[in-house]
Amino acid sequence: MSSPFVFLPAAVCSMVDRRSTLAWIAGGFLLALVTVSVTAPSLAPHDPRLTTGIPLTPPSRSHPLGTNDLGQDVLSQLIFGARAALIVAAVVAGISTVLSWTVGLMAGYFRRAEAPLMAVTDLLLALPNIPLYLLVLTLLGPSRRNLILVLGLLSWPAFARVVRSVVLQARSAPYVEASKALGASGLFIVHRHVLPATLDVLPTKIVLTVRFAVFAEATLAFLGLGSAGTISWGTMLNWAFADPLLFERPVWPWLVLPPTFAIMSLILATVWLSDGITRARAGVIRRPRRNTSSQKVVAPRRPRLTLTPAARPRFAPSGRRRSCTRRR
Amino acid sequence: MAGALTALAVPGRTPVIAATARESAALVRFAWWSDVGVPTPFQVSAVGPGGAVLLSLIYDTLTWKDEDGIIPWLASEWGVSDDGLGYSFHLIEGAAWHDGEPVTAADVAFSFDAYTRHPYRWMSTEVIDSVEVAAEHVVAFQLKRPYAAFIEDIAGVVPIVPRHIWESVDDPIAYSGADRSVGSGPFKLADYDESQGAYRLVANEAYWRGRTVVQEWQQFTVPPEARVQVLQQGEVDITLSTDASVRELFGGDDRLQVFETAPLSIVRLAINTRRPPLDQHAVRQAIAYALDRQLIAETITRGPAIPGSAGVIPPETPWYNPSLQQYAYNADRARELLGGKRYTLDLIADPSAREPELMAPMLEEVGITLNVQQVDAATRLQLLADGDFQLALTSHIGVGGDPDYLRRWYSGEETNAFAQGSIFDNEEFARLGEEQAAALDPEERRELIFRMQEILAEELPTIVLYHRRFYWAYDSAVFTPMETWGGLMNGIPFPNNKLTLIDS
Amino acid sequence: MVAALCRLLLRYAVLGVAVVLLNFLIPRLLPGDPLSFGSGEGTGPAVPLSGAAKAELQAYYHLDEPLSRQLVAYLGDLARGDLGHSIERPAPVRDLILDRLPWTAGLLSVSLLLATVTGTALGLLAGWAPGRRLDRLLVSVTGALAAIPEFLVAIGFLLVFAVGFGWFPLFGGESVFADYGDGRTGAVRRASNIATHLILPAATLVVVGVSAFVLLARDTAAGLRHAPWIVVARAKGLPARQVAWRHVLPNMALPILSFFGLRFGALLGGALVVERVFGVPGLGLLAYQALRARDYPLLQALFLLSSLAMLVANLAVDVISLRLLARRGVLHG
Repeated sequence: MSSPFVFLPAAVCSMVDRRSTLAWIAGGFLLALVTVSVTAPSLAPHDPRLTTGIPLTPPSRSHPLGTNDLGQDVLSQLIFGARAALIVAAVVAGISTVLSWTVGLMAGYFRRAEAPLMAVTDLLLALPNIPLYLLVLTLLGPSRRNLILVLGLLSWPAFARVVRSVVLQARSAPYVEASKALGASGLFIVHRHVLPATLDVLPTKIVLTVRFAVFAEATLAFLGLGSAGTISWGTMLNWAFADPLLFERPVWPWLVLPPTFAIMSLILATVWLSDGITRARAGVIRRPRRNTSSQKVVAPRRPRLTLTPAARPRFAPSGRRRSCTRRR
Repeated sequence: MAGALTALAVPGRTPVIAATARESAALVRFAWWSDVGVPTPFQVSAVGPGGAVLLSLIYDTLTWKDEDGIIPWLASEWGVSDDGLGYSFHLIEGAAWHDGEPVTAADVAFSFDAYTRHPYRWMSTEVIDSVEVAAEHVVAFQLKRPYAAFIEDIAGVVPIVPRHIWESVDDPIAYSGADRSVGSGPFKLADYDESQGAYRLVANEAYWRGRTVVQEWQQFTVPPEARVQVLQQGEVDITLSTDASVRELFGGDDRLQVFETAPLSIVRLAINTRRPPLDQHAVRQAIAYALDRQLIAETITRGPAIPGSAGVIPPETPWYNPSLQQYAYNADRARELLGGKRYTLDLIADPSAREPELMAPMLEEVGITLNVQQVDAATRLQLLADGDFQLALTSHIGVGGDPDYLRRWYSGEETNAFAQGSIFDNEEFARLGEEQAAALDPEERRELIFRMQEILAEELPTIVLYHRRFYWAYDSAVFTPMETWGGLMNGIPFPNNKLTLIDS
Repeated sequence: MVAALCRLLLRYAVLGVAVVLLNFLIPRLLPGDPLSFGSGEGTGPAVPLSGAAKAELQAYYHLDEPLSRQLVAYLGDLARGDLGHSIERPAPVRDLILDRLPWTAGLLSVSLLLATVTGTALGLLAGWAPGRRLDRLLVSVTGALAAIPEFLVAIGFLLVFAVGFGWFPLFGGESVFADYGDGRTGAVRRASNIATHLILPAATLVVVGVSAFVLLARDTAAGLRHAPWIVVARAKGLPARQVAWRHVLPNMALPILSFFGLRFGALLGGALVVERVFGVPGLGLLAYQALRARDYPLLQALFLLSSLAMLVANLAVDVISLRLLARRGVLHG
C-alpha cells in the first residue's frame, strides 16, 4: 500500500520539467486528491451514505456544500467520490495501456501475430463505443468492478494501432537493423530499442484514457447504467439530474457544480502534469531519438495529440510520420 | 362502495360529471414520458399505461367507470348466469365507428375472438371460453371458470374493434393500413409522429355518447427533466410529477394547478419466500419493522407519506381493509425478532430507484447487510421471472381496480414478472383467492378479500414501502381533471377519463 | 497500390462478416427478453400478459426457435435487404431507421463540419505562432472545454438557454403538428423551426468536438512551419495568408480528414447523449430505447448500421490516405 505512494510521486517529480509551474500545481493537486481519497473516512464531515440533514438544503455550517435529495452530505460524497474517480481512472488507464502496448508491440514486431491482432483491434474499433459499453454492462451487470473491466478491456484498440505504427517505423531504423545483424534476439530488440521508441506517446495515452474513464463513468451513470449504489462524481450528477424538478429548484449550484468542477480539475491536472513530463522528456532525450520524433523538435511545447480523445488516431500518426521520413 | 362494483342487473345509472362549466377547449396537450406505439389494440406498446389510456379515447369498451363505480357504456345492460359462467351484454343502439359503420354485436364477438389469436397486451382475455352473437344487439360470453373481475377488468378494459376492418387483416401486428385506428370513441386519430412519439387526436363530431368538449387532444413524449418546465412555458397543458413539491411550486398560481389522484402507485419489496433466511416469517417481519417507511415515503415523494399497507391494497380505494397489523417503525422489535443474528440479503432494484440507499442504513442498524444490485428493467424482470433473487424492489400501478390481482400475483397465472417474483406458498391464501374470483355476491367477496389482506399482513410475502399519488400539474383554463373510482380501467391513476372530455 | 487496395478490401470484408455475426449474437445474450419488458420509468405497470398470450407472441416473433434457426433466417432476410420487424414498435425496422437517420446524420454532419472548419482555422492561427499569447489562450480554452463531459455541456446549455433565457425549445427535433403552410414559405418556416430546435444540440457537439480539431490542427501546423518547402515559400516573400492557404492547409488535410472520417463513423454513439438530453428523435436515442426494451431486430440492425458506418469511414480514410501518400510521395519525395 505504502510503496506506490512514496515512489510514484518521487518518480513523477524527477520526470517533470523544472520550469513548468502549471505541471507542479497539477502534480500537487493530484497528490492532494490522492491524500483526500486515502483519508476520506476521517476527512469527510459525515458518513456520505447516511441521511444527516434535511433533503435539498443549501450550504450551511454543518453541511458546507449542502445536502442532496436524500439529505446526504454533498461535501462528504465529493470526498468519497474522489476515491472512486481515482480508482476508476488509474485501473482503467493501467489495463488499457498495458493492453495497447502488448498488442501494439506484438503486432508491430512479430509478423505472424499482426493479422489476427489487428483484426481484433479493427473489430473493436468498428463497434459503436457508448452503445457497446451499455450493451456489455447490461450483460455483465453494472457494478463498479464490471464498469472498470469493460472500460479497460474495450478502450485499448486505438492506441494499439498507434503503438504498432511507431514500432513499424522503429523496426526499420538503422540501429535496429544493425542490432539484428549483430544477432540480438527479438525480445531483446523489443525491450531495448522498440519499447523506448513508443514511450513518446505514453503520456498522451494516459491522459486520454484517464479522461475517457472519468467521462465514461459519469456518462454511463447519466444514462442509467453506472454503478448506482456506489458514490462517485458521476452518480452524484446522475442523482442531481434525476430530479424531475431540477430546473425548477435552485439546487443545482450545490448539487451539480461541485462534481462538475471536480471532474474538470482532475482532467486538467492530468493534462498539465503529462504536459510537463512531455516537455521534460523532449528537453532531455531529444537528441538520441531524433529520427523517430523529428516533429518534437519543431512542435515542442505541447504533446501533439493531447486532447484528441475518441480520436482513434489510427492512421494520422503513422501517415504523418511516414511523410516526415520521406521528406528528409 | 363495493356494492356498486358488481351491480350485475341493469345498473341504469347515468354518469355524474364534474359540474364545472363545460366550455369547449380548442386543444389540450398531454405530456407523457414514452412513445406508446401505434394506437390500435394490436400494436399499442405495453410499456406504461400511457398507451392503454390513449386507446380509451379512440376506442370504447363494454362498460366504463366514473367517480362512483361501474357504468354502462357500449353495453346498456348486462346479466350473469347463476353458475357465474355465462354473461350476456345488451348493446346500446346508435353507436357508430369513426367511418360511419354501426357498432354491432358482431363487432364485439369478433374483437374477443381476435384477441384469442392476437392478445391485447394490456389485459388477458384468457378466461373467456367462447363469445357469440346471441341476438341482434346481444352478445353472450361463456367463461372457463367463474370470474368476478370480469365486468371491471375485461368488459371495462378490453377495447372493441371494428370487424369490417380487421376481418380481412391476416397479421394485425404488422398491419399498416390508414384505417387501423378506426374506433368508436370520442376522438379520431388524425396524426401519429412515430419518431417523436406524438399523437394528434381530433374530436369525433358524431360521437354516440355526447358532444366532445375538447376539439383536439395531443399527446407528446417529453424528456424527464423538462416535464414541468414545458408546462410552465405553456407548451403542454397536463404533465405528471411523482414529486409532491409541484404543489408548492404552483402555489398561488390560479391557472396552473395540481390534481392529486388516489395513491394507486405502489412501491414494494417482493420477497422470495423460498430462499433462506426469507422463508422465516420472523425475518420478514423484522425487515418490516426495521424500515422507517414513513421517512422513506416522505423523503422520496416530498409530500405527505402514505406508508405501505401490509395488506397491499392501498387506502382510499374500495377494497382496502383498514384494520390490519401495520408494522410501525420499531428497530428494537426488529432486532428482537432476528434474535441477535446477522444476515446479508441481496436486493435487486431499478437503477433509477432511490429507496435502496435509504433502506441500507436502516437494515444495517438491526443487523441486516443489504447487498444492492441495480439493474435495468429487462434484467430485473428476468431475475424475478426465474425466481433468482432474494429481495426485489418494484414500483408499479394496477392496485386500484378489481382486487383479483392479489390472487394473480401469487398464483403463477401471469407471466408478468412482478407476479412471478412474488413467491408465496400459502394454502389458505390460494384457496381464498380462488373463492373470491368466483364469488359473485359482493359482500361475500369483500369478506374474502379482507381475509386475504389479513393473511398478507401477517405473512408478509411482500412488504409495501409506500403508496404513491400521482401529481398532475395542469392548466385549469383548458382541462378539468377527474378522479375515477379505483382508477381508470384496471387501476390507472390518470386524470383524463374520457367522461371529462365529453358532454353527455 | 492495387494490391494494397485489394488487401484492404479483403480485410474489411472479413470484418464486415464478423460484425454481422456479433451484432446478431450480443443482443440475444442480454438478460431479459423483448416480451417481458414492461417498465416505464418508475411507473412500471404490471402488464398482465398471460402465459398463453406470451407463447403466442413468442411464436409470432420466432423467439421460440433455436438460435441457429433464427440466425439463418436473419442472414436470409439480410441478404434480401430485409431488416425485419421491430418487436416493441410495430413497424418495419427499415422504416424506423430511415425515419430517424436524417436527424442524426444532419445533426452530426452539421456540427462535425462546423467543428472541423472552426477547429482547423483556430488551430492554424494558434500553430502559426506557437507559444504566443493567442496560442496559449486558444489551447487553454479548448483544453478546459475538453475537460467537461458532453452530457454536462448539453444540460448546461439546456439550463441556460432554454430554461433560463427561454430562447430555444426545451425538447424535440421540431414542433410536432405545426402548420407551416404550403410552398416555399412553408418549407422555410419548417426549416427554421427545425433549426431552432437543433441549435443547442449542435452547439453541444461543436463545443465538445472542436477542441480535438484545434489541437490536432495546431500541432500539425506548428510542425509544418519549419518544413523546408514552407520555409522556401516564406523566403520567396509570399504573403502569410497565401502560404497558409496554398502550402500549409493542403498538408494538414490528411490528419484532419482521417479524424473527420472517424468521428463521422461514430454515428450511433456520437449523438446518443445529446439526443437523450434534448429529445432529438435520432438513431442514438432509438438504440438506447431498443436496448432497454431488448428489441432484438431493431437493436441488431442499429448496431449493424453503426458498425458498417464505422467500417466504411475507416475504409474511406484508409483509401484516401493511400492516395494522398502516393501523391505526396511524388510531390515532395
